[in-house]
Amino acid sequence: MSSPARRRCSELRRVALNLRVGGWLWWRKVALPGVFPYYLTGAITASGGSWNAAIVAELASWGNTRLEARGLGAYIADATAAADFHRVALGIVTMSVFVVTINRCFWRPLYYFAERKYRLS
Amino acid sequence: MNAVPLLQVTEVRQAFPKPDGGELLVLEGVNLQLLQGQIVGLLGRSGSGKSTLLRLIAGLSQPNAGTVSYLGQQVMGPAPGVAMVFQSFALFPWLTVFENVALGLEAQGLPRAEIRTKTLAAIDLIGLDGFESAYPRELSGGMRQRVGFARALVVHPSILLMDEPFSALDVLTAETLRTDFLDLWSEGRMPIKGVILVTHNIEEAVLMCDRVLVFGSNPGRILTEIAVPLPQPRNRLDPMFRALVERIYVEMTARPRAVTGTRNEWFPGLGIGTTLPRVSSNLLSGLIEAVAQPPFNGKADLPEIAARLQMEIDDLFPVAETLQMMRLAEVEGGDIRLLEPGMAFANASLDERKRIFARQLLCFVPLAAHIRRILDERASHAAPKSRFSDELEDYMTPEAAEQTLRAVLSWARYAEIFAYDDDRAAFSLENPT
Repeated sequence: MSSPARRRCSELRRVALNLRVGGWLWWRKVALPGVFPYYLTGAITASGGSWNAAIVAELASWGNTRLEARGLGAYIADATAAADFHRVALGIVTMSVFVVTINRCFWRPLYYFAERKYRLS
Repeated sequence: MNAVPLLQVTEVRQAFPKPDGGELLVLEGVNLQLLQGQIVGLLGRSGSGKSTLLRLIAGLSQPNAGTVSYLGQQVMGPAPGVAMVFQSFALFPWLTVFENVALGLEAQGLPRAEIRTKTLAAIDLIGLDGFESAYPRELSGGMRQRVGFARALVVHPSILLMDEPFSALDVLTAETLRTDFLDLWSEGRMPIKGVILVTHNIEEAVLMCDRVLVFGSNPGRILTEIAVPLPQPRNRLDPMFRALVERIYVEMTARPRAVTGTRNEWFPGLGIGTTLPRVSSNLLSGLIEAVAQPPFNGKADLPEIAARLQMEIDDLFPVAETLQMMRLAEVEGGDIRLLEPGMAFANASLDERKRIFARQLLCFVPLAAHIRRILDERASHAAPKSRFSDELEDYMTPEAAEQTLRAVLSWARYAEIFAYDDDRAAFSLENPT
């Protein structure tokens, strides 16, 4: 959090204290909306990272042990192992389309909504 | 008059722990009484603990010593009859005007219909009709502060605490809000019985308050109390009004009587451990020029020059103090008078000005002389910044040390007595004369 936002935040907490806002009302009107944009930023970062990790984890080998799940990650890994560049390219394009679509259709609107409505500025 | 004061503050002391284990004394020995029907002003420069005192009064924090009592009862937590208005408005950006105003009533658990009636009444009173469904971001500063007022008034408090409520607004909007507030107050249309107004604007204090408490800094304490016996509505051009403004300036520039254990404000300590204000050399020469020119001719009345230069006391006082510290000018009794070097500076060419400034800086700002001496003594004529910031941090917080070094550096650059390389974070004699 930037320092002006931090200052705004502590001032809003003071308002809530002065008006003696407590209990569920405090969560509903003060705390949850206040942390929403920061929660969302964290969620976007986390979902990107975990999706990457999930794809990579579809194929894992350690010594003679080889674990494989069915999915895009395994498809790309197989294609790479077989040096089939057409399939590698197809896999990567599919993956990129997935990422862009999810970003455009889900995260970005949500982010702008949070930015507009909840950001302390 | 009512025998029990609305609010009684007795011998309040507040200190915060410092990182090095010591403590930063913010308020000491503060006594204050608010009677029914009064507006009391707390006037002082930033850092004099006014806002801290306001928070103690609202019960948002507890004093280290002394008591705050409301209608004879000691305040131990957020007091029900006390509402606050903030400088930055402090509105919830995700709530509409209506929801912002209604919040205090919802917190009291009132029935919905009652919340609605009371909220609409407050919105109506404060002149916000038609804006009920707007979000704060859609409103101008003045309208936002009206929401701040409505939100405070809707809970029908007996005391309204205002923390520089008009200082974030432009001059015209601020004046409109002040007069609207005073109209509502004098017509008795607000539920409040007493007001405490924190401000650093002397005219605002005289315009609005029945009593003005002038605060001093280090530590924050009440220097003096001035009654404003003028009837409302007041006229800023009234000679009585001007006389009171003048008198407050005199009080605020009075040389403190030798107080043991407190730092002298007007000759800020004489060692290198003095926190210096960040005042640019342009402002310093600007003020010298303004005072040297007619109609002032070397001696100016502070209220007059503040009005002419459109500076508030928080802008003007640090500049005047710096000139005083460098013995370019003298400030006393609400006046600023150029001393001989100051007059010479005003009439000099740029190079001559730099020479005069360098001489005063080295003579009267020990830190500048100290840095220059270290640089002279070293064969490399250079020293890392940490060499000095570590030294300063024995006396002050890291932020204050940074500010002090930046201040002395900007003066030294103007005077060309030493230089600084920001990439290497090192002071040097590289490009002085």
